[in-house]
Amino acid sequence: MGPQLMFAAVMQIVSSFTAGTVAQNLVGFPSTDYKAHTIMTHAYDYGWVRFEMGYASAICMVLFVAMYVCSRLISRLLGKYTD
Amino acid sequence: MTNTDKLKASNRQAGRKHGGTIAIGLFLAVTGLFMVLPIYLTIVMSVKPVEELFIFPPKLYAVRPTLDNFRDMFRDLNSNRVPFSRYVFNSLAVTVSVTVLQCIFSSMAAFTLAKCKFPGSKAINSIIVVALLYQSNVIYIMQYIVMSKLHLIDNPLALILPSVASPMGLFLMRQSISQIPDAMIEAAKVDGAGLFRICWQIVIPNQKPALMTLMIFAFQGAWNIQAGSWVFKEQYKTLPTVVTQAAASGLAKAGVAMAAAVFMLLPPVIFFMLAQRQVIETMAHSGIKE
Repeated sequence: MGPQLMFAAVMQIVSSFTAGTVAQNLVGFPSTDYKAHTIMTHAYDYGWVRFEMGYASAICMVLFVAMYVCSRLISRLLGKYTD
Repeated sequence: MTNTDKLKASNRQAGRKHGGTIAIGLFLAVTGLFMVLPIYLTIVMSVKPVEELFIFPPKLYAVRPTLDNFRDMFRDLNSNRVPFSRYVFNSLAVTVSVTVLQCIFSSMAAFTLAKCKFPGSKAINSIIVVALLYQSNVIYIMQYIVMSKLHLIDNPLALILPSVASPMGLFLMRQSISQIPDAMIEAAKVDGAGLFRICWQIVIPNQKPALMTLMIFAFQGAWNIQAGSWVFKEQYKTLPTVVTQAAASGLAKAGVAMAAAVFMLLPPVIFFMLAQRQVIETMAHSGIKE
């Protein structure tokens, strides 16, 4: 089952790191006092609302590196089940 | 053998007491109900008249069910300059071609990446995982530039081509194909099969569960493809675009929005149910005896 677990893990990493739509639908965008801000909503705010695209790109880059590190860690963990 | 006997036998096999089976069944039933709830709510909301939609707390049933919302939605959609059937045709064409092409491309590429050793195959494999981590927002501008350089703006192909190669499908198929024993492929090689034949007659028929999963994902993704920033001609737009337009007209059209949600939800759900049956049926076949 190793390869399937790896697939599920990568898809879950992506969807959980980019979570934010549910919070946006529930409490609005921007939420009161930015209390329900996630990284994704933060990047969206700076990219498409304030048009500070450089800062937004930097956020996305950090997010990307974090996701990459996570997926490497998990693939190391699952390494003994995959060949 | 009666059903009770079967149940007892399977309980003994799993080392479980009778009560345990009942507890697990109850737990699964409650979880299943919880999963079905959003779909059920979507359908119930679409048959409520407008004055019932905003009752708080929301009711789980419609007091006076009506199909007015659907009638209004079709009336709105038919009042457009382009006939409604054109949008349906566009959506069907896009969905069918994207699903078919994505399955063909993903499975062939996945076979090569999983089972053929060539310089750079490791690097390509890790690039695919990296490609999965990208944010779609980040590549909007590049995508537009590529589209306009390829003269695909206002071309119906612009709806199909970007979705044909999907890293998600490729990764899914690759992970699943990598589990096929090398012995099977070697056996096919000894019998004189070329790579293409090995791929389509040995590997892919064994991968039906993964292929069906890929088809479900591809269908869902393709059904929701919107004209976006590449196609501006009204006659090339797809169903989601017009349905969202019809639904986005504010609170007065809330009923229409609910009907539109059901209308967009049904084809993927039906497709999922049909494909799901296939997945379970093919899981029984196995490949090789070690």
